[in-house]
Amino acid sequence: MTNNTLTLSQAHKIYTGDGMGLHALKLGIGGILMYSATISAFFIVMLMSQGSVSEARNELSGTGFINTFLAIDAGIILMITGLMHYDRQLPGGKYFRTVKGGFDTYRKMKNASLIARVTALIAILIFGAFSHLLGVFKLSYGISDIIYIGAFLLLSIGEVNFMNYIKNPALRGFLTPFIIFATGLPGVILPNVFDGNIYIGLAVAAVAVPFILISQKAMLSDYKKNKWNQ
Amino acid sequence: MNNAIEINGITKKYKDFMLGEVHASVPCGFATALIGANGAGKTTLIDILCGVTGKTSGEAVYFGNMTDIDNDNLRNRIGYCSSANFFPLEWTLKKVADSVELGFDNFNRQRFSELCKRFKLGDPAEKKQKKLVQLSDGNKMRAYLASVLARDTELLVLDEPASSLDPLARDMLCDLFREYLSERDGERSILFSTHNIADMEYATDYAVFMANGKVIEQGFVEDLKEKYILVHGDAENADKARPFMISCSGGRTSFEGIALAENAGMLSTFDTAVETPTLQQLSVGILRKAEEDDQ
Repeated sequence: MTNNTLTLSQAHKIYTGDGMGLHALKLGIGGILMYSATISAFFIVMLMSQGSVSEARNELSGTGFINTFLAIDAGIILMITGLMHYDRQLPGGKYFRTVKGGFDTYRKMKNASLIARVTALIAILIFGAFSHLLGVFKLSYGISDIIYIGAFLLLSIGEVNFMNYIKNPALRGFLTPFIIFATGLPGVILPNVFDGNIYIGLAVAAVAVPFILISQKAMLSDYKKNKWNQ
Repeated sequence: MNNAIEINGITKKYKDFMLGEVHASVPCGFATALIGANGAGKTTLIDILCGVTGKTSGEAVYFGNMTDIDNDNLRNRIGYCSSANFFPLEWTLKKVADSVELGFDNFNRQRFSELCKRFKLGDPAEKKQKKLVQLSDGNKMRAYLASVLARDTELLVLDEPASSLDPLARDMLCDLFREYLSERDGERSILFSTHNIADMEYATDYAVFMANGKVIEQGFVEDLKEKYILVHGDAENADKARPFMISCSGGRTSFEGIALAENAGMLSTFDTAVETPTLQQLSVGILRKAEEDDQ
């Protein structure tokens, strides 16, 4: 019997050394910095080829580059954190199995990690939205792009959960970026197809939420059966 | 006598290895060494006892009446530490303290700080700290031990705690064992594994010998030293003495080995010298016998 009174954030701190809020903040800032660095790098390249700031900005904004960078950088953040493992043979793995709450603490940590990832995704998307609204770098369909990219990246969070069914870590690590980017790609393309109509994006986001919850539950159940109790 | 752990027929099946059935005791109030060659099953048994690995069958009874290692009350009473990479390597001492403080109910941060200073690891409260990956293997183990000893536990279970320590640090580890046991005399116990008992002999009260996944001998060291004898003799008498010995090795001029004390009289007729074995000599003799039986 366990009487686990740990909060999600405390469980996360036991496993990673950081609470859930701090982890989300680090992820969000990391993602924003990565997105900013990517845009800046391409902006400099455009600036050198176009010769003026306004032309370089127009060139970047009008071509869907910004949407693609936003999807890729946010996707990378989700991928890195989604692939974190705490198996017995990994550093810390044996310690984590002895802390109070046992698997329940592991479950709470994974749920905290999921919340932190979604929070970081939202933070990165908000930064993208502000960048558009302030006219720094324009998205093709504005907030509609943000909704589509966010909705499809939410779907990819659930898919990364299901990737844990692949037991070979090398294969899992190899396939995960393809899955994330294949899922994120419609988020970049579909606003063009639907002419910026947000309803399809919102529908995908609505489907993504239960999909994530189901995948999280399935992933935890599989981990308990095939890894934790072995 | 009360046992801190009573192991009743624990087994664990792997594709290429089978542990058990293991029947053994860890007496309360003493330091018990789990002795065996590499691959004998020491780590597997310790992992099962600490809830790190699941077992196939059998049962362990802790402190007389507790059997569920998932019980938080039991987790709090046991201080477990593995031999390598016990914590994520990017952690600092501060992160270790933050995590263990939340992970257990009985962690004393002040005591952890004192132990870190005593082990010359620095102050865990300092802002600028080394990550565990930057520490030597010996200092990593010291950090792991500090985190475990900073908890108010009743049973320490340490997997190869001495393997990465230098001789001086091993000596300190023996002192720490004595301190831990004497702080609450008779209430605390230690189980540690080793395949090199020489440096830990001073700290060992009870020994459990393992070979090929099974317990082949166990008992209090003093009793084992009465049960077995160390036999020396000239090489010309080796063949005559060998049938009365458990294990025997020798060169051109002499032989040495372990025998049951009850055979001392018979062995003395072969012009042999008999001594009380050290735990190291006992270990070599008993494990060599197990290896020969397995071949």
